[in-house]
Amino acid sequence: MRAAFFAAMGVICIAAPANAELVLWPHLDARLAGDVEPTRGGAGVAVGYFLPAWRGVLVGLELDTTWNGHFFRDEDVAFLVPEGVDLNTDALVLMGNLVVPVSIPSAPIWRPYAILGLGMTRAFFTVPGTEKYDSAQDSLTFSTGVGMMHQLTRLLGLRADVRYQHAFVDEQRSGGYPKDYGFWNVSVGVMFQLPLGRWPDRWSSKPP
Amino acid sequence: MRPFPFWLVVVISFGLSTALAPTARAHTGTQVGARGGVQLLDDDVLRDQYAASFGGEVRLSFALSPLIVALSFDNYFVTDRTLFQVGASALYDLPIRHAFLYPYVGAGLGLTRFALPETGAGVSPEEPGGSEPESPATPATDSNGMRTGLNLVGGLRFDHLEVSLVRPFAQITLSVGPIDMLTVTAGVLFELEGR
Repeated sequence: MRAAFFAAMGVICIAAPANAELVLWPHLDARLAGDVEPTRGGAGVAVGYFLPAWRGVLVGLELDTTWNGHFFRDEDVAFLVPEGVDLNTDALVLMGNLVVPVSIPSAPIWRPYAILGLGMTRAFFTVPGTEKYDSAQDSLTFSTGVGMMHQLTRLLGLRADVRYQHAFVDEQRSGGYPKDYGFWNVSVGVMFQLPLGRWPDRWSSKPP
Repeated sequence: MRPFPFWLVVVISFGLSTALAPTARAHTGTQVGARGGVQLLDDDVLRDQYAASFGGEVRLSFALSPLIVALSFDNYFVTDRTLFQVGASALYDLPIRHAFLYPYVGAGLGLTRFALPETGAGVSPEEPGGSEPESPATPATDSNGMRTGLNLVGGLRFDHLEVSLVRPFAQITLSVGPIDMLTVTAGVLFELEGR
């Protein structure tokens, strides 16, 4: 399995256009505000593939998965269980993102970017010690935000973004969170890039 | 929808200021050290005012970047309670340096772990030894857990060419989020490699 993964990565790197970049981004998340439990965290990882599109603009596609603990506010989902029962809520967010970084002339180690995502949020409802109240709720999710990439070495970088995520809940179905919800989320992590190299100033015709 | 947190503006401002400022290069290398401090905010439940802290720090600087990545651990000594924080921050040397004094600012994430005694405040009534809440409408609070918050850092580093292996520093860290803390810290960093 591991060999297959590295073989696939090798093929991708070899077959990539000269300026393409493969990016792996493990990240920590914190929810800032919104309809879910704020100030709680999560963790995730994104794998992306970036191509130069036009002058200093790149276009990237990435798959992003994030696990969020203690997702909903207790008082908002307390009606799902009898009084006195402690209901836990977690969520797995799977997103396909369109990422548009822009290189900064004279400072190519900085790349601000915009991000637009579409995916799914799967919320889990569990009660410790029993499976009687276990359930899950899938919701179509849209996200948009802005962020910054910063190159530290030829392999490593820092990346952080702020996103607004909105989940569309099927209100006709009973169980789970009763209505659409949205929240602000910040993600911070270390970014690994292949192939190794300094980010070129893509506005310039000079080689990096 | 709850209001957008004001401190996010601070973070974005920090990012923009470092992005737009001249890209001075930090020294490439690794520094490790120890640090101690005092927490200044008061909170009856979680911590005491003037609680002492002690911990360690690693600072990494890189060839291409003016930012320094600081990884830290701080344990707060509070009677009958567990309180520690693991942090990761990006530090930036301000371009107003003295010959051997380097002011810096930074921002990052802090993961704060806490545990209250089971008979203390905030314990869920269904837990053994827990006290009843004041009224049925009073929500039970977690007695232990980990919370994510934002750390804002401002400090001063002593860095003299003739004493290049030892770098004392002092800084103020404001932790904003579910667990607010204001800690004044001083410590010493030792250069492991690079310059």
